[in-house]
Amino acid sequence: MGKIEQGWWRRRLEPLAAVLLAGGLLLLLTATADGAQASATPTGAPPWWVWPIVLFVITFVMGILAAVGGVGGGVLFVPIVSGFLPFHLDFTRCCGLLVALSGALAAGPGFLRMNLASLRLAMPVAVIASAAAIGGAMIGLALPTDIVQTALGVAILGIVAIMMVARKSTFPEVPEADRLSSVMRIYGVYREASLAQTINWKIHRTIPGLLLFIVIGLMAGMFGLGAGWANVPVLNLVMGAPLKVSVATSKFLLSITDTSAAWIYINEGGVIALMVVPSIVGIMLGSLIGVRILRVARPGFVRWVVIGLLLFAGAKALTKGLGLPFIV
Amino acid sequence: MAIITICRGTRSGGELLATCLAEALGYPVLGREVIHKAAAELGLPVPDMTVALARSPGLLERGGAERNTYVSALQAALAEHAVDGHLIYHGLAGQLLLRDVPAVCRVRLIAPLEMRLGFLKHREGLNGHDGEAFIRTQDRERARWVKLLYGERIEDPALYDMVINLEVLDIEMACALVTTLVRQPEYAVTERVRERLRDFLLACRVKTVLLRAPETAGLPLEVRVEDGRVEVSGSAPALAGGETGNRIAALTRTVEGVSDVRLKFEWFDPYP
Repeated sequence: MGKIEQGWWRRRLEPLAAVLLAGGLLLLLTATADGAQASATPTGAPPWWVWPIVLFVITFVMGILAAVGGVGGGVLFVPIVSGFLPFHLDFTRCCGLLVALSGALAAGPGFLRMNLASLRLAMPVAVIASAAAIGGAMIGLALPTDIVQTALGVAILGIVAIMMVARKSTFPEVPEADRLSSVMRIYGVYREASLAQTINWKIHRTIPGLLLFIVIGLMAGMFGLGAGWANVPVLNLVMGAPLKVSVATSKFLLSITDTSAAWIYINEGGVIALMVVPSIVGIMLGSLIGVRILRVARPGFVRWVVIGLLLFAGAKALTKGLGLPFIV
Repeated sequence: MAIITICRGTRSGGELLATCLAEALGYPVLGREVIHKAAAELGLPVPDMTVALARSPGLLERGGAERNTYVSALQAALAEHAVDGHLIYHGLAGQLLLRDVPAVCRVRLIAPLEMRLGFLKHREGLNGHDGEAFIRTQDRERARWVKLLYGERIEDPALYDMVINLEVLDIEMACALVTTLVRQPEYAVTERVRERLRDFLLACRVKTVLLRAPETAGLPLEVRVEDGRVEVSGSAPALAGGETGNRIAALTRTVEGVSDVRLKFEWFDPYP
């Protein structure tokens, strides 16, 4: 078989192999959850340390996959934990917000200091997104769980679609800054290390972008997902900010948006320390390992595994919300 | 003037060739004692450094930072000797330690097993199966060392300017061949080459300092120097409030001879 043919087969078989691997991982996860349930004591509940350990291991693996696959740990947490572990969706969403928040709070200030995250870009967006996130959290807590579960399933499948089709533009073409961004002085300068150049940037389509952030904030608050999967395409492709500025600003944005929503859940008693602590520790440790193995791993294949995980998790959430049977 | 590195298997006549070349050309000879100098620089016992260089990095060792520090210190120690423009080095992996230096004549010496066993018996009294086992173990360790540190195969001919097989040629003939080669203009250590050597030495010193500092030890850093102007490139996590860049610049400036520091970093999100 010639090299061109090998490449053709590899491009087609690799995603399939990755999705199958994702299915296998989720089967393993379900078996683990069943095993944990089965370790119930005579009082009917498993020992207190079982679920923290399970969560730690699962989020550790998630952290590695997230770092290597270039996706947010927050976007993996709620779909997988809510779909395959027996925690109530409200506690899972709160935990998911805190998991996404922890990473944002760790790296966000660094990006801001290095002038990669733009305060001028982030602030107006953050005000709108965090207000919407508060609304989303309140709506999410008010709605029946099965409706939220169904909507979560649809949202996750939508995220998968975005991940598969959305492109990135390193330096989008912005012919002219629009009036609103000029009035709000949303422009900036940053040093592009790879080119050893200083890049002046500006944005356009500010109003459509801000409107989209209402939707993003609403979803982040309602579902407890990190919003990086949506922030970056909107900032980069819709508003025209350079990719690095978009990624860094998105990180900083999360720390504001998710904080707003998290307070709603915290106020309603949605924090279980035995869930939150091992999850945060697990995902942060996993991420640190993941960035180390990034140089030797195959990010493309891992990204397909992540897409597979989200695909199964989305389908599981949908069927769970609709009360339908599922294969796992 | 020339810089010659001799890579060979254990007891392959490398030291004899180095001595012959030193008599013919009048250059100083350096062997494994470069490890002593590097260890002294790092404040480490020599056996510890030798063992650390030979083993694989542990799970907790961040990206082989400790091992990279030792290699960087070795390069600096070797560069200090080479900066005068004349040196014969027959120690570990000279062809790779001085890879970024121009006008280095890289020689690989191969000897038949019988000859090597003869050298071994003469020097250490080992012969027969013990001798063969010793030679094979040493060769395997050297190959593994080169593979671990540089990802290269020690026997790859592309790493050398000349490969000499002592199966037919003797040491004197090998010496004559190398002497003729290094007298070619391509291996002349001109003033420009000396400048590059000084830049290389400064780069090694800067790299050693950065690898020894706890905040920067685990980062994948590359250091380039031109006329005292240092460019540090690589990738670093966006943590510690973005202070990593300031810390790298401050550490680099502590090295004598650095006139300017430029950072060319890709900052990444460690917690996606």
